[in-house]
Amino acid sequence: MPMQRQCKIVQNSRLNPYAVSMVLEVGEMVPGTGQFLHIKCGDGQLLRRPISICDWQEGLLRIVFEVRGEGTAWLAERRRGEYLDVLGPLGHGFETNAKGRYLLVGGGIGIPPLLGCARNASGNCTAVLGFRSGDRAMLLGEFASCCASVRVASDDGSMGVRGFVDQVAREILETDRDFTAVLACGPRPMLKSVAQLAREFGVPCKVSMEERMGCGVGACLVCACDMADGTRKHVCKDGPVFDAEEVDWDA
Amino acid sequence: MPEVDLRVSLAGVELKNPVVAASGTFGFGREYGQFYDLGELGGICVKGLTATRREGNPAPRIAETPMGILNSVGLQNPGVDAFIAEELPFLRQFDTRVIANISGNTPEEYGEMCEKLSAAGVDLIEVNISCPNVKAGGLAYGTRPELAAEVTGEAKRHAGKVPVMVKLSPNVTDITEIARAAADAGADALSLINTLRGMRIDVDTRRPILKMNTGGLSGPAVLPVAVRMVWEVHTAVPHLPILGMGGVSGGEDAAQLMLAGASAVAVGTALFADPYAPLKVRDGLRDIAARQGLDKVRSLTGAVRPW
Repeated sequence: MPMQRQCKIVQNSRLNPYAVSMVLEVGEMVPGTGQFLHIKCGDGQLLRRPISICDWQEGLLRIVFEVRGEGTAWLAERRRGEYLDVLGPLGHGFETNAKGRYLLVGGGIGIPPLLGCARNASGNCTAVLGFRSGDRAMLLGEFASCCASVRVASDDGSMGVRGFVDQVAREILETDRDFTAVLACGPRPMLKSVAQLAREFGVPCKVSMEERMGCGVGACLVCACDMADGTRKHVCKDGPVFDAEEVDWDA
Repeated sequence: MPEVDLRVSLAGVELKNPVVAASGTFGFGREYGQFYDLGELGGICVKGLTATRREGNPAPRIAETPMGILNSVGLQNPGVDAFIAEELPFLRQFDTRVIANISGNTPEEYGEMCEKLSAAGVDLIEVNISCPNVKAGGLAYGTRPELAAEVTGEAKRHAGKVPVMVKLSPNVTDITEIARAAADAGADALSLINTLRGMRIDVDTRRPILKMNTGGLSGPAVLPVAVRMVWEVHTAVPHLPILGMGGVSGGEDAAQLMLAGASAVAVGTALFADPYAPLKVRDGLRDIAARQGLDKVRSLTGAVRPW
């Protein structure tokens, strides 16, 4: 059940010049992987900001976000001991089981929610993490500590393989397609490529989508996502995680 | 502080308090029902219904603006029949008034929906003649007095005993013209304001944020427009009760609309920042009434002292 809660910040650190990691005391909130929090970012911003949940452990929840605008800039400046007005946990997340073997494919700020999946199926996952450039890399050590293997790609070749994550994912699937599912989070073009790839290799695929959001709980219907059957679902309530086969990738 | 009677009447329908959840911001109540008992509300205006299911407009459908938001949802809803079968029974579990908001492509569609909803048993029908986000019908009915009258008349003929409230658009030169037309055609109440048409452009991509280019503006930015229009309409048709809305996020905002002439108020956009906003508005109104020594909140209605 979602709730509104004032959550104390117990840690705020920079992962790189763009990304912030924050740990919150969330009390009785028990999130699933791939869900998100809807956070009030000061009085100047009318709308809350949806921030994906990176990890959770007994009352402590970690979020990782990039500073993209005024709201996230405000959020990044909050210090340890301050409180945030949080709505959550929200949305339909990734369903992983501890014995599953997952191919995790993350791009940029889509990477953090996959860490929870990696930890849930500890030791069984292969992670393919992509960044625009090496200075945007994050969470590599943490993925390495709970994944069977971690591969890195960067658009400019400054870290790992030069190129996109779907190329690396293809190489992996060509030799080993015995995955429970591909779980992907990142920019829409990346998700589209990964969805095609998973279909080609016959592996189930779940994708975490993004859209401009209003209420965050499924009431205002603004965060529409076009489905393959012609209907429009909503990222905040039906998603953010959808079956890749459900999504209309050509919309 | 003395006990304040919060009950108000809207077209003969008694609300336990003057605060209603605004159409399009509250779904069919299920989501916010996770946070509090929906029976705390004076009423719930449900998501705008159409004769058949609609998927609405492509995303992005929302843009944040200074103290406001633009939306272009485009009346996504499951259709009036699915509402009656699947959502109305849920809403009926709560001790609150259910207001069905409807939009038609033709006057006949409004009539058909009124007939179904009246038979199904809703407390009030809000006839939307002011949606800025649909091509046919919608706003066109709300900007021309003769069309507003035609739709109102058709709704009244088919609504049976259920009172009909006509929702007015602010996107007109003189809102009192439309208000009078609806009043003359038999409207039992008026609700205002719907959203103001607006636009926001990303200067780097030179693209509008909304996929539909334009959308409807709501939020605190529109409150003064709403107060002015409620006052004008109340002055023009003082016998018709008004459900006032537009940018209400606190008790003082609601009190302004009531002083301007509203019998009750709706809270919408404020929900997105705070799911409990309607309850805070209700408590704020009670505090204002108590501070002013009023024994009933309804004595605020129309009590503005204009210069």
